[in-house]
Amino acid sequence: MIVETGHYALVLALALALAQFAIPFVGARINDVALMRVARPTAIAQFLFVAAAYGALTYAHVVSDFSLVNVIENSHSLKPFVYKISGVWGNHEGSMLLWVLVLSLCGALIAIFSATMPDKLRADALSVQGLLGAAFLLFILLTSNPFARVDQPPWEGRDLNPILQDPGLAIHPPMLYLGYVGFSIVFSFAAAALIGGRIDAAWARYARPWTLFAWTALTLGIAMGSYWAYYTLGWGGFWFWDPVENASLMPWIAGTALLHSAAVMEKREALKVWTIFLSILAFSLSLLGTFLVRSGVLTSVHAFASDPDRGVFILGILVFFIGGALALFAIRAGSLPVGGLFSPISREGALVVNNLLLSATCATVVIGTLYPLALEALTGEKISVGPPFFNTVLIPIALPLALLMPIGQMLAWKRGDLGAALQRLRAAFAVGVLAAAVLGAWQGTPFLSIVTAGIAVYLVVGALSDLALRAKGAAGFSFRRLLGLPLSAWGTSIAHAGMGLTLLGLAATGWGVESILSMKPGEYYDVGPYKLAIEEISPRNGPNYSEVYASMAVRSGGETVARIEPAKRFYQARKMQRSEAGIVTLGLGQVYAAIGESHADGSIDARLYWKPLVTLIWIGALFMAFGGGLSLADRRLRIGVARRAPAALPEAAE
Amino acid sequence: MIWLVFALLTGAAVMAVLLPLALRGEAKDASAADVAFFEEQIAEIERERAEGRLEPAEAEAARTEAARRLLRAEAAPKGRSAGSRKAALFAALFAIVAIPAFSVPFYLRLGKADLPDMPLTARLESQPEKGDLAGAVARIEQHLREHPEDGRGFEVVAPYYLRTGRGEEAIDAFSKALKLLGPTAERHATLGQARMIVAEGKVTPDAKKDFEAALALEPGNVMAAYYIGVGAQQAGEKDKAVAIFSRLEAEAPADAAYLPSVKKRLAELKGEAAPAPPFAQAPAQGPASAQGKAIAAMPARQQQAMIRGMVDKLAARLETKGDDVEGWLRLIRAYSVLAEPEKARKALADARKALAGKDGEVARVEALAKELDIGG
Repeated sequence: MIVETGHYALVLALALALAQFAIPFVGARINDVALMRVARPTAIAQFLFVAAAYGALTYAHVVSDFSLVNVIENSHSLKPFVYKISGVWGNHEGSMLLWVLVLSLCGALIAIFSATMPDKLRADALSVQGLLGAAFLLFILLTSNPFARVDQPPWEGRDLNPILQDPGLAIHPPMLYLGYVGFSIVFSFAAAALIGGRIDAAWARYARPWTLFAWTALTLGIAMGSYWAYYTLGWGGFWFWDPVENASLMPWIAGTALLHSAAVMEKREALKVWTIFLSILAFSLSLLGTFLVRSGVLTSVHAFASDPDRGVFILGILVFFIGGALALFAIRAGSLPVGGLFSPISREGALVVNNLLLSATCATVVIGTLYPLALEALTGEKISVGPPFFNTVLIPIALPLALLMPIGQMLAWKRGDLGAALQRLRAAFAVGVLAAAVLGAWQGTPFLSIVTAGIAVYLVVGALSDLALRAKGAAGFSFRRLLGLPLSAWGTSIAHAGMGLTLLGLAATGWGVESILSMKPGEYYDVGPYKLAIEEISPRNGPNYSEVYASMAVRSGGETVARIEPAKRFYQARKMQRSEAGIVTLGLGQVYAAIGESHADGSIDARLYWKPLVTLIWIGALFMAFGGGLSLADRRLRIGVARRAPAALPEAAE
Repeated sequence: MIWLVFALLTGAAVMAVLLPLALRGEAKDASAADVAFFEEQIAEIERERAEGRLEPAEAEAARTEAARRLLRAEAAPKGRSAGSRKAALFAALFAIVAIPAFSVPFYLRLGKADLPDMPLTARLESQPEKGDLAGAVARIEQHLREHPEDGRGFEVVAPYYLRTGRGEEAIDAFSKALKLLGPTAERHATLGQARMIVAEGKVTPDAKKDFEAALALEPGNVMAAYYIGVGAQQAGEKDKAVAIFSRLEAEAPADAAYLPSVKKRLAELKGEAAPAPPFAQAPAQGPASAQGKAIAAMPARQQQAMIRGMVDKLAARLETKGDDVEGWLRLIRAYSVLAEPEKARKALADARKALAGKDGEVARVEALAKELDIGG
């Protein structure tokens, strides 16, 4: 009964989503406040019904109800409890349901936190949100129904793909979806502004927290995903420029650009049209990512063509919403008021440069991801666009962007003084050059790592020195003043510094050590500054797998500093193998080992890595997300003060 | 009962639409929101100046800018909008009718309202149905998870595992039974046999150890002795194999079922290799089929009997239920492999009759007939 109730709740959610779309939309057109206000309770009710459906599906997974096809295909009665819950979203149907759950949650959040918003803007935004929900609910019910049942249930399920049975997967998709779908709110706001034909002064203020929220969640989601790939795939790589990864990176880059342009819009009422455009773009790229991952296009263009139900449906949704929003934009953008003006050398100007560079980055990733797919579809030729392409194109964009970040922070709004900004970054430059020299002398080539590391250190110091300079009033540096700085200023600096830390971690990959070898038990092998030896190889049984693990001692200077246990697991139900890397963090670097085939003479194939500073990649992402969170916590208005403006300012600026 | 729940849910959904329609109110004007925003902005600037975070000159510049925008917002034309009773009434009626009219038929198309939840534990506790072997095994498995010391349970499920292709689990269950119930020659020998089947007929060192243990407990154990002989034959220790098989042959009662296989082994070892029966080397149904492995590992006579039995069963089934092209293909191929052209031809004719009208399937049968050269 619980299962079927969940199923019916999902159908009701679709009916409510349609009501949430139609009634407020009509209300906003005929200016009827009662109809417009239908938006809020329906949005909340829609969320509750989707949540009920999601709860019912989770229940079915937890109690191993094998009368559901979804449970048969993705669960096993012996699977650990946590993975029974995470298994709900570890498959196509369930993850689409989670997608819609987050989408309806976003709708409910708009409904709850929009008391100060003009009725019309809210009605239109929730109406768009309702239409999005309806489209995806229809997709789920017609092509990917998680509640499909069988009359003769089997006694055991086929288990969840072992690669997905991991704590990383338990958190990664919900975070990622919060990010992806969080941008739907900004999208709905943008569409509402275009439909209503006016951008309220407060538009950016309404949109900002949601942008920050989505961006923060997406940052964490991507970081988690990359760490998960790093330790489960057993190759020591954390980013493969794989289309699935790019699918999450594209909206992140667009979202980063949006975050910055929205700041300009809120503080200075400039870049309005561009901000609206980015709002549409960020969510469009989320939809594109969903399409790429969920349609089957990636496994093979041909698989998609032979079983087109799902793919074509999502493609339809994609074309309808992106096309519709862009068409709306094309029609309305001309009539939108253009906001405040500014000189090229100013905070606004720096943010425009930031936006241009980010757009170029985003376009690169989009092209690199879609080109091989298009080529395969048109000519049948399979090519793979991998790290060489992305590194060649993106590094020359990313490094100047990193150089500009602290400079932008130092420039004043409206019109700035480049010379003064550079002067205030003297210390950061010096530290950066020094760091590059020291690291170069210590670790040596590659040259790119040295340069990148220097820029990264400069970025961290530059981002933080902005805080220090702002704390220095007329009476010198004051600690109280530092603590009294607005949270949003802290957020900016910490997020920028986080970017620097990530960059430093990336730079250090050039100094990593990798060795692929056959290890004999008891003998020591060099890995960077450490030595590794296998002490024991033996089998062991887990709840739904059996494994062979190698217990390895990590030694430094004759002393054992850590023990790791890389393993090779075999999952009986799926007859699949998975390697479990043995990782130990030493300082900021990591020793990473993965084992392969064992040989008759007792030796075992292994891949050993020493990855200096590698944890900084994810620590940096945590800092970025923390900065986003701080900025989100700052509920005050953002005021763009023209700091260095001379008193007798001509009125030309407005 | 479930329809009562559905009715309540539907009612809740309709209420979500009706509630706001019943309330009267005035819309917040868009320019009023702008005015409020700029007023707040000016207040914020004042607060920052008071806290010393803004220089007076900076604050002044920011304030002028905000004030200018405030004036413009205040000057904007005010549009009042209120609710009209008629539109609200229409929307309410629409919601009351449309939501159930949409949801119920849509759900009926997709859902199975009368199918109850089937949590695994509840199913395991319910009375088993007759002939539901898988269900019985699931129940024993459940029992074994709670009582992992019950060796009899393992002994019962192990052969089932072996038959259904879960070889590793079969070995695990056999060894647990052996450990928990105490060693006997029989248990050691069956465990060794399971290991052999999983290893695709090879007597692995582990399997050999088991057979030796069986012999140590019961020197006259035929199965263990036979497989040790097979192992010796596989390892190329011809003399040892011949010695074992000769002893088995000498000690066997005249009507022993294993006697022909022992004789055949001896014949092979002495170089007078009788032609092997066709299925002896042919992998039965691909390497994944455990049954195939099990058959391949059996003594030759048993193999033949087993295959015959299967083929007869298949033929009987197809007689009553002819709409199964895969079945026919298998049957025809089986007869041809068993060197029974008569029966193969008869099966071909029957298949043509049974599949009449299905051109694609008949074509597959014809293609096979051509391949096996049994046309006619």
